[in-house]
Amino acid sequence: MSECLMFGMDCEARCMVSVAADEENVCFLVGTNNIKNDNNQVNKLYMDQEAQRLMSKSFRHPAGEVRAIAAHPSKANILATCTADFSSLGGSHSITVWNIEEDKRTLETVARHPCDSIMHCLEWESSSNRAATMTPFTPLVHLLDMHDEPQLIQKIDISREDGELFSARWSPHYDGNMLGVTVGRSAICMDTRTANEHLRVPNAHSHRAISIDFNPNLQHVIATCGDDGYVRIWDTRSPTEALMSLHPHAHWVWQVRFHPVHDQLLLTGGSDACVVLSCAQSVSSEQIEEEDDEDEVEMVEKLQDGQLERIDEHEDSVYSCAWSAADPWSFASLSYDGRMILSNVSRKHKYALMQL
Amino acid sequence: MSSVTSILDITQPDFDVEAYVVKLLKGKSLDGLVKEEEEMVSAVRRLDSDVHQIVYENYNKFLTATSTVRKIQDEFTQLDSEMKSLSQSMTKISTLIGNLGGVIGEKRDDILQLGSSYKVVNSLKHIFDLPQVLQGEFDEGNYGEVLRMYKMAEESLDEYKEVATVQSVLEKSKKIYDITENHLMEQLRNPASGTEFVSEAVDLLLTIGRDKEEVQTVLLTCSEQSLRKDLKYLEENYSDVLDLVERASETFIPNLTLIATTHDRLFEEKRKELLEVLQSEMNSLHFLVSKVFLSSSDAKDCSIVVRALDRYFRKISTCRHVIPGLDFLPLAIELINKVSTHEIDLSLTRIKEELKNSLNEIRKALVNDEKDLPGLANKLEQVFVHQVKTALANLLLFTASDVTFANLPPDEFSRSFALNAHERLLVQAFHRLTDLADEYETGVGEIRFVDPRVLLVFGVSLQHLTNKSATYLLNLCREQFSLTPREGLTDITVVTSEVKSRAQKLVRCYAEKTGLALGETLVKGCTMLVEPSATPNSVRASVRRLVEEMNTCDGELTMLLGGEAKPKDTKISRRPITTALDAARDSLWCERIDFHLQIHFNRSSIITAIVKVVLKIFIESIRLQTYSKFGVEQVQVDCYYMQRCLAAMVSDEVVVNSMVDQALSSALKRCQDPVLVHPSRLVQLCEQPFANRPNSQASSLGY
Repeated sequence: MSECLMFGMDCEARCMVSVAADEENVCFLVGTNNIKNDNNQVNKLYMDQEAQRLMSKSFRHPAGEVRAIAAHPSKANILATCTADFSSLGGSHSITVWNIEEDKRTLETVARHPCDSIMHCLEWESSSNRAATMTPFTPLVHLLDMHDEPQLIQKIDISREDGELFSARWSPHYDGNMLGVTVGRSAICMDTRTANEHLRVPNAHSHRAISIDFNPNLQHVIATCGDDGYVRIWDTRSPTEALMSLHPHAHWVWQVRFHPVHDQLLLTGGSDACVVLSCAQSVSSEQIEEEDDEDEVEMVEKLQDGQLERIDEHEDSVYSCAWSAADPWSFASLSYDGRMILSNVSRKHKYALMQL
Repeated sequence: MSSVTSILDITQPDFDVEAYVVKLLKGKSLDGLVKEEEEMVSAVRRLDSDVHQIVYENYNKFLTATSTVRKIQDEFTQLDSEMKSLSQSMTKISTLIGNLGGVIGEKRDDILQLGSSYKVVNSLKHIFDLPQVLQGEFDEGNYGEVLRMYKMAEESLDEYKEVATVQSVLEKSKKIYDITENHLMEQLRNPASGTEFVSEAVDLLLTIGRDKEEVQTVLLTCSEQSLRKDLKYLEENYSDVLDLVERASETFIPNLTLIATTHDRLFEEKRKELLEVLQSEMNSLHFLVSKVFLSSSDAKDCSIVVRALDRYFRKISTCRHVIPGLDFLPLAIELINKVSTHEIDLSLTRIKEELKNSLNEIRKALVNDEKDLPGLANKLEQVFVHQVKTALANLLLFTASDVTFANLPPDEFSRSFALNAHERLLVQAFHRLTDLADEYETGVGEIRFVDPRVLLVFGVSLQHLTNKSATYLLNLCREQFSLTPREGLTDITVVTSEVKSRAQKLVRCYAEKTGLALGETLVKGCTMLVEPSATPNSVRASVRRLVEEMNTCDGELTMLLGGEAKPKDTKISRRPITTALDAARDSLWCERIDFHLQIHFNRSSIITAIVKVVLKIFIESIRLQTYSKFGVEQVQVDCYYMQRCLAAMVSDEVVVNSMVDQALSSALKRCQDPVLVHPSRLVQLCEQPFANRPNSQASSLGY
């Protein structure tokens, strides 16, 4: 395993996002998850190229704990959070858009959209500038228009499925109209134009499907992960049987992310305190292309399907992992104890991928 | 001396009575003399009677001789009279002949002419009969005679061609001749009819001047056709591979050798062309046989295949000797090698099928609530061992001493075969087993939903396999095929460690799946306990259920893996009871729980793995909630109860303690104003029997 950089926060944290708008710096935003109001903050973590260090700037988050965080797709200083403030009776919840005031070290509220119940998961889609969020225990997905201030467009009821909503994810295909949701044991893809279920993968995992991601290169391939420790890759054209089953974790897998370019790389974080980089070469887009010029490929050592790297520097459950937007070989992971680790794909695997 | 004895011998002519008497008187006593006298008297009597007898006999003979002489005399008189009449007749005849001579003398020339005319007529008749004769000869199959006679006739009748009748005779004969010739060609076209016929035909055809080249070509093409016919027949009529080979060795191959010998005898110099034809026909046969061999699809037929292969091989090797230059041995050996690997592959598929079947049986048995897990694990192992042994036994047939090709030089067959038996069958069988284990571990298709105990049983039987049977099988194979490790065999440890890693994977998977299932009962309650209305008055039912289920699981594992069940059952760990402050502090020192530790095949190790998963699920679901004061209290009670019950089961209770602490501290973090229950009350709540829990009790204690 290659060198990794570590940063510790003194507060529990569950959510992290890569700053998509900043293409220069490896930069992530982390929101803390502490029920005591005063301690919550949003941390901006970025890599100091010269010193090879992980730097942090922390901003107080005045609206309670950060239950979900999303970075603006094109403005590096704008972010949105799902907030939950338990200081009053029953708590107050909102979706708030913030502007990062770097100099003053504060977050300035741009707009606030109050919610009735506790919200979970926030996904900001770039092309339509919409966000999806959800109420976990009453299975509703909220779609918000994020142009000026968050405005509720639509509520999609998924109550047909027994079980709680865990996460949502926008498909990079279909012009931002396809939303993947994990609910109960199933993964569902919805067309937001009709609010209809486009596809359902029933029984994706044994008790709960936790996270979903779309293959950036193949629009009919999705990956799901769940509490059984498996990552399953599905062909949405025949969702009854998984294309591939990987078993990277010994406990719940909290997040699965395709590499934005090399879609054979899958990043997962789980509650067994591990981050695993897996390879699914045989069901990736590169596999299909390679079939044409097989002779050349023979020369290069190909990556095997299965686990490539396992990072077990975390001491508590890893709830979030993300690829960097600026450096295709960097990824970060965040564990509950507030430790963030920035790692790189090892040189060996990198070369194998680029077929050097 | 002799004169003395001769004087004394009574039988001698110069016997002297005086001397004899003197000698007697001198030499004998009185008694002796008396005795001598008696003897002498009796001797005289005896002699007397003998003389009488002789006289009678001679007299008889004399009488018969006399009568015979008399008979002869009579006959002579008769003869005499007859002789007289004969001489009279003879004189009469001679006079008659003298008369006749004069009469016939003048007609003699006529008679001679008549005789010669008769001869001519006779030969003409022969000529006109020629067609019939030829036909007759033809009918009797004396073709040589037909041809010879015709040739002769043709030659001699050539000068009389102008005569119409002769012409017609010639034409008729010619027709028969042509028929004969055609018939001979016909015989040539059926070369399988027998060497003599064909060579006769060829000889005759050559003598009558047919072109040698032409005859040879006809013979060859016809041979080719007849062989093709045989082959076609073979192709359409066989029931199995042995039958095919038997039929081939009864028809095709004998015909082939027959043709070859015939041809060789007749056209020695045209061998090359013959060989080309035979080569191509043998190729077709070989192709057919190979196809049938390689299409056999049941490993049970191995003995038949080996027998057929053996026969085929023998035939081919005899063929090689009978027909020099036609060497299909290399191809046959190649076929043997191919067929043997084909059989190996079949056995392999069979092993895999059987394994799948027995796994399915295990699944069924577990669905039907079968309790005998060790029995199931044992059965699976036995099935594998048995199947592999059967397959090896089948393969041994290839090397049996009565099989000819087993005695080929080792380089050509047996070495690579033995290597294949080890690498391609045995090692691959283990690979199939591990593949199957991988399939179960990855959860392909509906296997995802199997009872986790199937994985446990599978894992345990793999573990048993590595302990003993795997090494046994590998050594058995090495012994049976007399292999030595020098020959590049896969090392035993490589195989066993592969299997071992799968056993580990399976048991890990079992622990995870069981943990997940058990954890669900615990989680179901978590959403409910977010905001209970009052302080807890007992351990939650779902927590008690979990402990019960853990106990069942523990019992199953004990039965399967041995060892004492719950060794520290009654011993309650008296760990200091956590307070809020402690919890916060403990979480700082809290040990990292490693989920990827090696699981040992014993009860406590597996239970520990399950407990880890269950408690982690508990922690995870707590972290998703926000709790009221009472909620935290309930979590604390539950945690205390679990710590007490589960710590006894696991190998290292530090794990349970640390995870329970983590659960409690997580709950504390998810609560605005946590207050913890007093330790003494914890003990009381946990020790009260589950069935009677008076609601009043809590209030009476002043909480």
